[in-house]
Amino acid sequence: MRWPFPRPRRGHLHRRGIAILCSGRAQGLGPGVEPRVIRWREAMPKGRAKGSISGVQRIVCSHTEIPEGFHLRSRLRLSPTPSLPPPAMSPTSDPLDAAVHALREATPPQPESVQQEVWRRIAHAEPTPSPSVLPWWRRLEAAFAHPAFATAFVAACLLLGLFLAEVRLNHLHRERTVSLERSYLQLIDPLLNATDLPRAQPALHRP
Amino acid sequence: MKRTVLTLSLGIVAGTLGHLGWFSTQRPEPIDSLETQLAWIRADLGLAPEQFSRIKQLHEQLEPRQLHLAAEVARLRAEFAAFERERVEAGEVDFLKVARAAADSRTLDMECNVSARQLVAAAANLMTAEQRRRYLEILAPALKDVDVDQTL
Repeated sequence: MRWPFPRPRRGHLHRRGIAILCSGRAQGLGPGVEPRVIRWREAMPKGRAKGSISGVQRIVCSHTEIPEGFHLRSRLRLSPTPSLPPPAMSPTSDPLDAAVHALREATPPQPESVQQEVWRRIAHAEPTPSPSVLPWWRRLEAAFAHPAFATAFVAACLLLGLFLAEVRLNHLHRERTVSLERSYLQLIDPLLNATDLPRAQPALHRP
Repeated sequence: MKRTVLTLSLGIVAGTLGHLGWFSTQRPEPIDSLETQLAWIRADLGLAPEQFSRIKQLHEQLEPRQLHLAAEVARLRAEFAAFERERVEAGEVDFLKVARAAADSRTLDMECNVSARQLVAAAANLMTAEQRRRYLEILAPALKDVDVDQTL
């Protein structure tokens, strides 16, 4: 039967396609690990994985979401193990098996260190963005992730608060000094602010 | 994100607490008594304990008279304000009352001058030359009509 769904493109999870995912326990595929294709069933819930071989699963996704408990380790197609015999074609076999078998045969043999190659390609395909291209909130988050920076920030806030308090106190002390001077002058001379009172001229009181 | 929000909140709380704590502990006392004024004079002039105690005693002796004079000044101020209101509203003024208030004002002015001169002279006599110079600088606005040198 013809492959009923679009085949996964290299480097992309395809809608209604095949994705090869590894569970959190698995570090990657080994030479003897055979990814198994889960038979497609129409009744299969969307995005659910079924079956497992040594922590490596091949699942059929009906959309691009990665199921819970899994993370994408490789968007690359994995080569089948050459030692495994091709699946026997029978009238009752699933069309997906035939498609995967064809895919295996079409894939060239990989070198011994598949894991290293896969990781190298992942690193090449998903380079870490440099901090300068990140938006400011991402950079802020990244900075606050460092305990030293977070501690320095809190200390700086504390010092800023103390500085502002000192500025306010300085202003308050200046105002208080002026008020003290004025009140003391009024104690010495009650007429100091009585501008509306007619005041005797000093010359009149000179002996 | 959670760590960022937590750190920002912690920084704001620390800054606010530091600000309020430092401000409340260092806040100066309100000016509400002669004690506060004398404490300021003492700090400003650098008075010795003996000088301060004698100057404090002097001020405490003369304070009632100064307060009485201040009350008289306030009474006369209110009286002149009433005259002005009457002049504006009624268009006439009792000149006898105004003349009496003006005479009282002149007498009060003289009393204030004499009292201020006595207080300043007595306090300045207890100070060193440098302290006296600074003290008279502070009192310059009040002493512009009082001949302190003559008293000293």
